[in-house]
Amino acid sequence: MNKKLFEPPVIKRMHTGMPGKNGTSGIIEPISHIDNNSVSTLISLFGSPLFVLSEKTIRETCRKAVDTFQSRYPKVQFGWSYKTNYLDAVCQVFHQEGSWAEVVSGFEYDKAIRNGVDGREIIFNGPDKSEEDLIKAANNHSYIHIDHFDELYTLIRLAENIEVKPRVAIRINMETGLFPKWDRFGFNYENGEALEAVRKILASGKLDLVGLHTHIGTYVTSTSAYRIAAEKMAAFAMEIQGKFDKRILYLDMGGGFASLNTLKGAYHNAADTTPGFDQYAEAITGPLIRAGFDPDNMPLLILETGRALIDDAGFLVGTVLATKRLADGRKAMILDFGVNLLFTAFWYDHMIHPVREMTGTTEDAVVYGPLCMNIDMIRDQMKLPLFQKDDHVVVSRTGAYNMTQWLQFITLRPNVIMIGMDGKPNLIRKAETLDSLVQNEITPDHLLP
Amino acid sequence: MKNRDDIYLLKQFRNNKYLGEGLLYSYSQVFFSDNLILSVLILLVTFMVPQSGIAGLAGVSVSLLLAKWMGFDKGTISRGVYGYNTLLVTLPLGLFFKAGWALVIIVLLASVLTFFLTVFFRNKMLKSGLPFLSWPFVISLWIIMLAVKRFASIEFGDQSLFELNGLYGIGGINLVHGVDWLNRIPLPQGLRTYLISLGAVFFQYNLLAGLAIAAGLVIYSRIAFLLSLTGFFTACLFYSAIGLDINTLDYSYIGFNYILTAIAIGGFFLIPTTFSFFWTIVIMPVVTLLAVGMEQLLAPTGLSVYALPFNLVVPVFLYVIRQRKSRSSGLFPVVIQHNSPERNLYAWSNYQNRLSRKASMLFRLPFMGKWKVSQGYNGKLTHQADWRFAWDFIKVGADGKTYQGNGFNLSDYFCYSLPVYPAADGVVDSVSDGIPDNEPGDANVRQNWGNTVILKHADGLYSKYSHLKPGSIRLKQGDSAVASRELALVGNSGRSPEPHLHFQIQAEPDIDAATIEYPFGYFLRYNNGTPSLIAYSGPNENDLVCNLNADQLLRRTLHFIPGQKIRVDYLESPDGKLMQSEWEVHTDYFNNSYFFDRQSNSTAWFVSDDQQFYFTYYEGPKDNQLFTFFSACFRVPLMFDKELIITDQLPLSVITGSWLRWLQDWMAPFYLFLHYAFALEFLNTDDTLDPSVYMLKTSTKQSVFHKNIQETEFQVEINRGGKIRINSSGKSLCLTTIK
Repeated sequence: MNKKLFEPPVIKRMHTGMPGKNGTSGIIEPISHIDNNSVSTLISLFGSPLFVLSEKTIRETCRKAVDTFQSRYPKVQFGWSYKTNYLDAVCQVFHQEGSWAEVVSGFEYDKAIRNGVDGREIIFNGPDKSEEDLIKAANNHSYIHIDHFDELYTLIRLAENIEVKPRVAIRINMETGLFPKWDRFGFNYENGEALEAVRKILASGKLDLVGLHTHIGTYVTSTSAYRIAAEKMAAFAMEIQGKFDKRILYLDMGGGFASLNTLKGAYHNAADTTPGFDQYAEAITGPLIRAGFDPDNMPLLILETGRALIDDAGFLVGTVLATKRLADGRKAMILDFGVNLLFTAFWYDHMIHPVREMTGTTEDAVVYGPLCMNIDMIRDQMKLPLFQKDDHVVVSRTGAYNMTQWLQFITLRPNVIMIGMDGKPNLIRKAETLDSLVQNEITPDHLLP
Repeated sequence: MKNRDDIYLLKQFRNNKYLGEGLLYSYSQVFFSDNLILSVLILLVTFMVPQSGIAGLAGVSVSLLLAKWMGFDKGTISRGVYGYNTLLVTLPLGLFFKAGWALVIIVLLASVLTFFLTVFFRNKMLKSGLPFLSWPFVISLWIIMLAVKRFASIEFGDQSLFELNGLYGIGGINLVHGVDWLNRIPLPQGLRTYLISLGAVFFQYNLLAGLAIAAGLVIYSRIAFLLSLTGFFTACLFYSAIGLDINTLDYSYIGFNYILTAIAIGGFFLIPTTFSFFWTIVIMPVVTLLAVGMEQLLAPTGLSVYALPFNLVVPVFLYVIRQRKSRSSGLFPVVIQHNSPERNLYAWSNYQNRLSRKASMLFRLPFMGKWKVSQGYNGKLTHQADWRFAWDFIKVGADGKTYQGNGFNLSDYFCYSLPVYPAADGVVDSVSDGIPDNEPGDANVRQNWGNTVILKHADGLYSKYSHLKPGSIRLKQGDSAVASRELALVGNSGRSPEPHLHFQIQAEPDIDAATIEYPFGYFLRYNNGTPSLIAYSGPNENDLVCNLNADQLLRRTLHFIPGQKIRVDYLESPDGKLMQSEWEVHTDYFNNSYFFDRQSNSTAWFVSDDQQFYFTYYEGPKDNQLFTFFSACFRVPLMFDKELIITDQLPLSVITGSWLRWLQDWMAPFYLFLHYAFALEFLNTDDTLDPSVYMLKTSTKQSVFHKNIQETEFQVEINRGGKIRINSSGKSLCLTTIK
């Protein structure tokens, strides 16, 4: 029999609070293993903090998403949103699952090419594409999604000197009932700007209009917004076909599907509010199926969802550096990772799991990171079990955005491992060292030590 | 002027070529054959008694000219259909009677009479789907033989008695010696009788004639020859068993009845199989019985039975075969006559393997995406008795479970609320709606089908979709259902403890109607993630299946319209010069489409439906471009999928001039050791979104006892705009559809 754990006694004010759907129980499920690998072993092998990705979860989520859409629409293509997580290993898993690449900068474009993606399977989005980027993408037959008129004019000008006809789509923003409206990207549908852009593209004769693109928002939990967007996109495609006798080959419905992370300030737990893939799929494919396209020649439906495909597959594993009590009596816990690695802590109330079994006794606590900056706070308030120094913790659902938006600030970035289909951990990004940090620095001779 | 005359003569010759063909094939038609060598051999045999040969040739000519003059179908004339009975009637006239005007008149009249009888019997028997064989011959010759007894001016000749005189006339003393030597070879009595019976078909009672015809038979068809031996020697055995004298066969006209009956039943009108051989053996005593009985009946008239037993037994037997309810006895009537037992067998077995299960309606799976069959035909749970031919479809997740979470809610189930599509276009026959979905685990046994749609596709062909979600049915009774338009959503109504789609085909419209066995057109079956294309079959329990979604480029390029022409540019060898030819696309009155290459007179039959392009048969020489196209694109699914590998079997009849094929023919009815396999895989495309070309790799492989002996690989490029390029070792051709 194991020795009983000692937890120091605390005096705490009675506070029943509002019982949620699951009552007020404070027990947080421990995560002791990730894909059958003991978290403690992983830390001893790869250090702490540590990002752990599960290849099995990525593949299963991806297949589930593809299958959900394919059960409702005959031609479906996913494009892996590089900005969500562009570690090579992650991208390759998606490409192996049949995803194209969706990139939003020249560097991401090059990374996709470097990953062996055929130029004809790269979607180039975003408001910032340099002239060199545009020429490169056009020559590779990639799909350039035009964001604004200036880009359109530039591309028409560049097309004069490009041998191939650049293949383009226009990004469209529209009223879908969401607030705030994402009208900073693309051409507006309701005021006729989008139609104007199409007219200019076709009139120029220099560009090959192949698709339409919209991306109505991020972390969108309302499926009706997607339904409206799909209706408008289909209607617009039909309008273009009717007015200009131009068949639109694909409709890119973008991404923005919510994951199961709870947003800060949300009243309900995300598990209760986030729609499943089937609900998004139902909302998007229904209007497209019924839009009146030639059933033998439906436009390809492209989806660029990133977050919903990878968030669940990522875990951030760390160690408790210290616990302390603040001046106002609140409990505080300091971890060896903070907003530098868990950038999404700015948006989400991340769930912090213990690794070992703990009692149901919890106490409201603040969770801080290791940075000596006041902003470095992971949770401003969370009912935590009574952690002690050197306990390990696991933050679940950290696959999206963290490995691209992480900061090299005060600390260096740690190892990233991916647990393969065979259950064995593979190091997919080595921890940064001082050398990797300074390798691009140039110190003038007179400043050398 | 001379030049124009030449052209005129050439034209005349070309226009009347069919008469020449008809003349020749009248000789081989006696053995149901269109083999040129056999025809020539028989022609030579008839001239062993020159007067008989001349009479025969004259008689056939008269019949054919009459057919031409009266305006009969050229194709039928050219196959010798109108000539062979006349031949059989006029040959003995030339043999028995003395030359003279009387004989000329008799031959002429006999030809006219036989021709008329041929037309009469052919059309009367054709209506009941039976062959008219040599009825006109038997009846004509009887009438003439009876009639001439009263004609004073006609005299019996002695040619048939002094055969050697005739031979001396043709081949000099050497031929006479040769025949004499041959006659003295100590052959077993049975074999001698067999050969003489073969000669007797053309009224030549000598070994040389028999040998020549036997050789011709082997060249025409190994199976026919084998059958002739089987038939004849079975009869011999029966003779000795029953106590009849075999030697009577030597001088009566009976022996060939066994031979012809055996070929007709064992291999020509039925597919040659072990069973057809068995029945050939069984039927021989019956033929004997008829022959002996009829002989007794006709004895007072002095007439011979000729081919009467054969003419009676074959149609009666075929008629009996046709009346069967089930085909389980292994006897298969020939539907498309290829004029040779081998070709009939190879075409039939190829059809049997590839297309026999094809139904007239090519149903699609009634959903999109990959689904799993949770219960198939004869399922243990509910697909039993009258309802055994049905399928239940569900969706499964990565762990094999059909739901996520705890499965307490309907929405936890992957297939719940997924759209259901009509399996084919049709009309909504009835709709039942308003039955609530059950909680998971519960089942409504009172309204066991739940919400159901029944679609009518044709008279006696209905499809049924059950356990649908209440209120989700988009069509009402009488509406047209289109395969591409959503029908309803998957629900959990009726006897359904968890959401699933029940699908079945039935012959009647009632909701409780019994199911019928009816295949789907095409679908993909996934095995460890690798798809295989299944045609004309239904999925089995636990199969993971998905529809084949046809690709526009492949569909358009491999869609050929009757009347279209196809330009063929080709290089015979890498440094050869560029050649050009043209094919035509035709569709005959049976709706069979084919490519016809006039230059080489070859034909390749094909089918192109919405989801697959494939060839069914090829006829003609094998060293031309059409055959390359036939082999390279034997079966092409109209869907691009790099993981898909297609395999198929070419008909063995397209292998010609190979000793292996010759060897195979001898045992083909019993065992096939020779195989001709086809394989296809997709290599690449230039663009996933908007492809303009697909690259394929195909191959054909000949194997003996599963050991490869010859392999040909083809690189095929299918382009947008109707261009198909085929490259194979040293060969390169490009097909362009001319719009």
